[in-house]
Amino acid sequence: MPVWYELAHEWIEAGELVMLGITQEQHPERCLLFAQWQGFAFPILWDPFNLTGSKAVPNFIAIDEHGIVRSTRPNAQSFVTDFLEREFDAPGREEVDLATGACSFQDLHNRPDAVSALAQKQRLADAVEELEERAYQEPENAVAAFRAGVARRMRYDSELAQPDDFQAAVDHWARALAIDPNQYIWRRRIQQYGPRMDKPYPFYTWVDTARAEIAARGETPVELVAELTPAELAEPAQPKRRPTEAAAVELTEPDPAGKIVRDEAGLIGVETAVAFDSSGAGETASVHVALRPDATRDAHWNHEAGPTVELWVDAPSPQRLDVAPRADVPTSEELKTLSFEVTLPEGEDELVLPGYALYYVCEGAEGTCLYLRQDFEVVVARP
Amino acid sequence: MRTLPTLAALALSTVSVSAQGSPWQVGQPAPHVHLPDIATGEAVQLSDFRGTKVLLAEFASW
Repeated sequence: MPVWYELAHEWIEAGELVMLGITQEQHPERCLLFAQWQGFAFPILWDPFNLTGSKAVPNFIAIDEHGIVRSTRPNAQSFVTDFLEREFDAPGREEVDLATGACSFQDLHNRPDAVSALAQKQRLADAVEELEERAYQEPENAVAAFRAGVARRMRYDSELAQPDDFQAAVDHWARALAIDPNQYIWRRRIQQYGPRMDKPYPFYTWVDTARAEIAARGETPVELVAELTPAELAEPAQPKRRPTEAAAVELTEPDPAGKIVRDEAGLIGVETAVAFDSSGAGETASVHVALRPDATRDAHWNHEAGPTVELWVDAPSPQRLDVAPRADVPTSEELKTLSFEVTLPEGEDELVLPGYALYYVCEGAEGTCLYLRQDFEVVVARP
Repeated sequence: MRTLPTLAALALSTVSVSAQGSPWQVGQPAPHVHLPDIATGEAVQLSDFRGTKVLLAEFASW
């Protein structure tokens, strides 16, 4: 992508060419940060529902001055002579109508995918319901399943989030991919949150470098709405490599006697989601545990007393994870997500993993801050 | 000040796709694209650029 932009830069400045991007990413601000880092100065459009229907990216499409597609694989060496300097004939009237006669609002409203229901944030819940209803009514409709997953994840990242939104999104995407395994844009959604073994490459490891370089230029990096989870930063594992006993590390449970006071008031909501590898083999899964302060109680994290969150999970390889306190603010209200991988033992179709989270949480502006424990279970079931 | 796309902008989103599945067919009119700009949130149509040659790039930052 940067290569084409480098090539096209002078033609864009000369007014001979317009460059237009489309990204199908779930989180548009990540692409915006990437564009800021790379210095892209062209519009990028957001297509999270994959309305274009493209099966993989990147794609480069040369479109002439009449709106006719002239190449879907433009050649950098001959781009000027074959496309830029060439004058194309205007098409007949009928063709132009085909290209432009698309979208009245009413047409859109009648679209079966109900994208129109997202018109207002308050209607996001309705949109999720409508998209899911279609996915359930048409269980072999892969597009409907994918879009239901996108809407669920959108709601998960909003203030309307429901505890099962992330898991439902992963399940919808897995269903879509099972029906149409050749859709690589859908596959990337699962791989993004899935286990390392399934990743073709690390997904967002460029973010830290981008932020540092943007800041060094004196600019403010685009803020991410959904911070990156460990699963999205993980390096791919070698295929079929399994953890060895020699590599296992003895971990100490943080509250073995269960003496920490339980969060009976539910100041923090615990949500879990399990994403198996996209091949459908169903051996290794990435388990996400998200902790969400209850906004209705004005619950917030306290960063002034050790790790903000500690997590213990009694898995075949026990997991002890933590979230370091923020250094920039004393308290905050954001979602905290931890993740780890688990491999189903041979012959097992399901694992139930008991675990608990320990955290410092405060209630209200003047409320006391408490160190609390919340127990949970993660069910990892072979899809 | 950058503004992320709003859901309202998404509501107007549409792309007309041919029955064959691939939206980009050489020699055929490009599909109608109407999607929000990730920087401004404003809806943009591919047809807004009629009269100028366009290099369209579908890409992702991952």
